[in-house]
Amino acid sequence: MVIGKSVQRRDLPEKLTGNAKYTADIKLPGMLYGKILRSVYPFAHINSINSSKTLKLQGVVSMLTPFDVPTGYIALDMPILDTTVRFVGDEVAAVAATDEYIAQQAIELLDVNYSPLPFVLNVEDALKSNAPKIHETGNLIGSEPIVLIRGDVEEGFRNCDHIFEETFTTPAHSGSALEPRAVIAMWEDDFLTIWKCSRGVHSDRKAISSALCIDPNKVRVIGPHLGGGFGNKDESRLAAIVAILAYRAGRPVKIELSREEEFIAGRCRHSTSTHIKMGVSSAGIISAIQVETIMNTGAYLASGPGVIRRAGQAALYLYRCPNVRYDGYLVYTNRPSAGSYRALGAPQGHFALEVMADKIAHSLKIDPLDFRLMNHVDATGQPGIRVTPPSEIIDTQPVEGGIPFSSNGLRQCLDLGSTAIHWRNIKASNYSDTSVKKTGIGMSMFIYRGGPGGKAQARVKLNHDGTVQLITGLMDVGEGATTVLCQITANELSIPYDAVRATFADTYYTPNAPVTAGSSATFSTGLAVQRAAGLLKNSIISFVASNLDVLPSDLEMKDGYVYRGSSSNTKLSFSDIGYLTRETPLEINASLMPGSKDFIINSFGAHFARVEVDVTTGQVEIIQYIAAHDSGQILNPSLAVNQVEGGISQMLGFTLTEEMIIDDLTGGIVNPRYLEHKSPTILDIPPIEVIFADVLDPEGPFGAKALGELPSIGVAPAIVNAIHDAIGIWVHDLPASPNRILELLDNI
Amino acid sequence: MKPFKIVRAKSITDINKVFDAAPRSSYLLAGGIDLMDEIKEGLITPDFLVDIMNMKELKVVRDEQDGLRVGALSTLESLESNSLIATRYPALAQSVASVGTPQIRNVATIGGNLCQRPRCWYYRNKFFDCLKKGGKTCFAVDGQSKYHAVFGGQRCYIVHPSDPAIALISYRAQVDILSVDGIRRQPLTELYVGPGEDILRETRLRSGDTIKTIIVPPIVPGQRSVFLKATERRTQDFALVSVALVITVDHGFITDARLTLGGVAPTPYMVSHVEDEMRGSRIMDLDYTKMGKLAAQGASPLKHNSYKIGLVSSLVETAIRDLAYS
Amino acid sequence: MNRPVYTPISLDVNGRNYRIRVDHRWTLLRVLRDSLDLTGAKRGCDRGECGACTVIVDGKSVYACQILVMQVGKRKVCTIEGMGTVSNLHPIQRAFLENDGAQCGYCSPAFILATKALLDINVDPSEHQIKRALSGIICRCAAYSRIIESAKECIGTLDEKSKN
Ligand SMILES: Cc1cc2nc3c(=O)[nH]c(=O)nc-3n(C[C@H](O)[C@H](O)[C@H](O)COP(=O)(O)OP(=O)(O)OC[C@H]3O[C@@H](n4cnc5c(N)ncnc54)[C@H](O)[C@@H]3O)c2cc1C
Ligand code: SF4
Repeated sequence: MVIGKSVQRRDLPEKLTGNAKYTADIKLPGMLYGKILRSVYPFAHINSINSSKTLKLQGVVSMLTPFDVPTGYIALDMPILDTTVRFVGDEVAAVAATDEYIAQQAIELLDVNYSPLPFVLNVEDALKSNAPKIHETGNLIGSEPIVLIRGDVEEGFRNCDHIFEETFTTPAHSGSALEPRAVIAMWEDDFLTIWKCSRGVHSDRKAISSALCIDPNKVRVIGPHLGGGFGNKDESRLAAIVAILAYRAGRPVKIELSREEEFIAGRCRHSTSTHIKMGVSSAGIISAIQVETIMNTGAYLASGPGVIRRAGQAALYLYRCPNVRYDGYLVYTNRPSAGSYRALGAPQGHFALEVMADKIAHSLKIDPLDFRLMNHVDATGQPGIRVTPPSEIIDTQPVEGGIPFSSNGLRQCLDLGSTAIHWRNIKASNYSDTSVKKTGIGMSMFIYRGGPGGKAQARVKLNHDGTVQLITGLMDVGEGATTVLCQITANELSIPYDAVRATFADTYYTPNAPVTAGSSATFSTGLAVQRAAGLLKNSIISFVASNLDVLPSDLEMKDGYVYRGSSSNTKLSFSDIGYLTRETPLEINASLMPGSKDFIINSFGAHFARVEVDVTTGQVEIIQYIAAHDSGQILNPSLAVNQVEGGISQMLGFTLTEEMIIDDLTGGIVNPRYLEHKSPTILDIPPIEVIFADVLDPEGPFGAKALGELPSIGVAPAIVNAIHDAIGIWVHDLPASPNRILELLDNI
Repeated sequence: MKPFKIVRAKSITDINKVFDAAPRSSYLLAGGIDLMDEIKEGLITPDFLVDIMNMKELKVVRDEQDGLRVGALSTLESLESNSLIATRYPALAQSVASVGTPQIRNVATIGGNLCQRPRCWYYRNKFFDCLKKGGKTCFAVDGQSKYHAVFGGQRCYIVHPSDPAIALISYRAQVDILSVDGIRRQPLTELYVGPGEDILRETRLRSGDTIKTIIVPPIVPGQRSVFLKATERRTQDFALVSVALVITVDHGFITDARLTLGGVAPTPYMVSHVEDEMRGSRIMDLDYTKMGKLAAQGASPLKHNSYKIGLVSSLVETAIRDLAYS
Repeated sequence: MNRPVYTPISLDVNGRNYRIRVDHRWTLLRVLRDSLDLTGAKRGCDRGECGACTVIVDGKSVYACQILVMQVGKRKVCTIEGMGTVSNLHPIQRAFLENDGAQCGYCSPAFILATKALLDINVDPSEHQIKRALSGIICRCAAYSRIIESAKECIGTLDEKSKN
């Protein structure tokens, strides 16, 4: 069994020696360098662009402006380039030249005539009736909030002893992967090849070909190694621009974004304001949860609808509750566009709900752990009646009750985590500090989709040398999907892990695949891979059976051989079989719609943090962090631990320091650099202990469920609850940075 | 980025030649850490960079009668690992160790550090054409001012960025400056100029002036010193507030005190009224909290930086207490 | 200046002497990546704030993006390409492989070189010394825990040959 083992990561030797090629590392003969001119106004109409100086500059080869751009759309609300710009940094025009200095000078020489328009940066302003409309459809997306209801919240509020209400906010912050976006485009006659930082080469191909109105079969998208995605890098506007520059130049063109552009034009996490109202009995049983979240999507929609929906999952499903209502408002403003960032909305939703839970427990004098033990959703799911027809696959984020989970290790996570941190002992000891450093302990729990994504496909093939080729269109975004999927293949065919070769992330060679998102790679593609490998096994056995003239049932596959009977010496190796089938290789395509008709497939977890707050400097130090996760069977423990530790460490930034700060008067980002966006450093991260619940999910590949995004969800509430335990102050607005802590301490 | 030419200088004569020919577009290049940032951000467009790293006379570190002479080209790393500095001038050692990252300290020079330009995020961003760049407004006044000055801002609210400068000033360091007219020595404090006097620059150096040496006076018996720096992250951060305190204690009484704050004013901020209050007091009897409060007196915060007032008080209090018990 | 100024220089990288003509504006990073095709050093921020471009110059870790190539002079530059190869990993690289000291890998060459620069002068660093030596590099995947484990694992494994 290679499942459950920490086999070596496939991509590491190349990465550790500097041999791994990322998009920016690729250089083509005759390649030009492009630069983008970006808007200096948050909202403006472009009347004209005078390019005479630019075109006179020696070395300028091609150019693209909104006045000569093809008419296609790259997304519903986004043409390739537009004569209206909607945030400071929005794309205005692009130039390709023989070197980067010239390209830079060339865009600076473009003379743009703007008519600035009144603009809005905040959702409150954007929702006013007289607010300037950022898109024709209005600033509230869909013209109304999404409303998700189970039971009757009013009834729930009538039947409770206490009602608690509170508002929480979270800022926009940037994933700012270390690798800035880069794209290279090359045309050979009417065939376009694109290399880009990508999270899904097939979805990129679709967007690019439809924007450029060309046959998708004439477009090849290749995703070289990816220097971090975190949900980002799923957009294709830059690729379309580069493709047109290259077409006009008749030469390959490359654009690499600067770090500043990454912060501005890369997609940040949606800022939110969440109002929560909860009804609870004196004994602490929840009877109603009502949540309203207003989300700032910035100038473009991007993945906003998915994000606003997912922000509601905590309210709807984390606590067992008959009466729930979630209203989600997604609002356009003239800020940089938000988009997909690790766990889309779930961290924001859980922050509000899980700090609220502690506040309630605190007022009712119930231990926060007990409050959660009393109320968390268990394996039976939510009260209520199923409305999804029995023949349909259950959504991973259902609203209705009456559907059980395929597995639910939440209780186990609460038990394992609280034991590991000695919750009861520490809480009971009622520690007191006299020093300026106050210690506290806090916790959170969370729920998230368990892995079913869109339709998944995989192809496996027996190569003539006896190795097995695994072919998927999936992108390894650095989290190790290549490794885990090869493990699944090897396991299914009982061959050594090293005997699996992988082809990924190239539309030319691979079947369609979804973007690497929603922690679905292992679960969804994993299931397709498992099925394809299983079918390949059958066809190998059939081939050998007919070759040896025996019954398939007489054959057994083991260690890279097919044996005749278990004790027999008659055997054929994979290389023999590969050689014999070299003319017509054995190859299987499998596709499936992942999901279950009977169960909700979700992953769970609980986080526990011990902190030390220095009341003189406002600095919060995490001294211990325990993460207990139910992601079903862990297919590669080392990778999984790395994911969890990384997710937590990354989100310490969201919790304590990171924020995209906008100048209110001009709409410009004031801190588009690492130095001031304040991502955590190696000295900022705590010791983290990762614990996996012993759960085997009946629906997932080898019992596995989603993992990648989950660790990012529980961090902020666990730490903020611990801060309260330490200094008696609730932080309602993230980040809990030193200045905020000091201001809050000043106000008591 | 406009093309520029790098010229190697071996002497002040070499430097002057370049600056005479192109006074407005020539810049001294030491480690280049700050200069590169300014050039890449388009804040300056030099024609000539005068590389002074080969000027041997700027590299000497020597202990002499009038104090420790630190050549302006010494890297921060070399000062951090200098055992003499660590034992005699702990506040300087601590301030140097708190700068940036190892990679920066391996390259950055102390001279360049003292002359680095401010970090105001409006100033560093070419999108904002602010007063300091010859524009018409200070964006920080009504804008995002979390990191800005609470003392001494006049039209411009930058904070002084150098950590070592704060420590050096508390040690009453002096600088030797090379210029066309020869060498002149002046207190480090006098190197700096506030926006009230000149909004376009932060030092009084004239075109081509080159810091040769920093002279730190010899320590006296009973001298104690400490440097503290509050930040948001544990490294790679400029100071929200920094404090350097040097005192002399004789039989339990403070005979001399020098308190300098960074991160709070456009120039290193010397808190002489607290120094006066401390001088003559018995260190164990001093009301540290009161001293802290006193240090923050007169602060006038902008919209987002009032937290610095409490932070100044806390750090000053901690600094005095640390020295009392050291 | 209206036209780029070029000067022929020689540059010692990984023990090899390169003779090239450089524009005075070029940083060491630009030359490594574009002129010498040594793309292991990455451009993450181009401002000395992320550390992905870390290389070793005369034994000290530096940001290649903030040094002009004209400033390098005769000093010896060591990049990730001067360490092990895929089939013959340097002990530090092996430690990173075995301890999963990376995720997306964009910062890996930098962390490996910073580890080397430390261990070349301090054979037995404490955990805090390790963290401090590596504190100039951002890992946005935040695989820091594994990176620290990897670096710790290298202590005592370097023989004289794998140094320098
Ligand atoms: C990410 C980052 C973090 C940082 N964090 C800190 C921090 O926490 N604390 C801190 O104090 N600093 C910090 N810095 C600033 C850094 O210390 C300075 O940029 C550096 O010390 C400048 O030294 P240099 O030798 O590279 O100077 P250069 O960049 O070469 O020069 C800087 C300026 O000084 C002038 N100059 C240089 N030498 C002389 C001389 N001898 N005489 C006269 N003028 C001269 C130059 O013309 C130029 O204008 C940080 C910088 C970065 C990039
Ligand atoms: S504080 Fe000074 S540097 Fe900053 S915006 Fe105002 S004038 Fe410009």
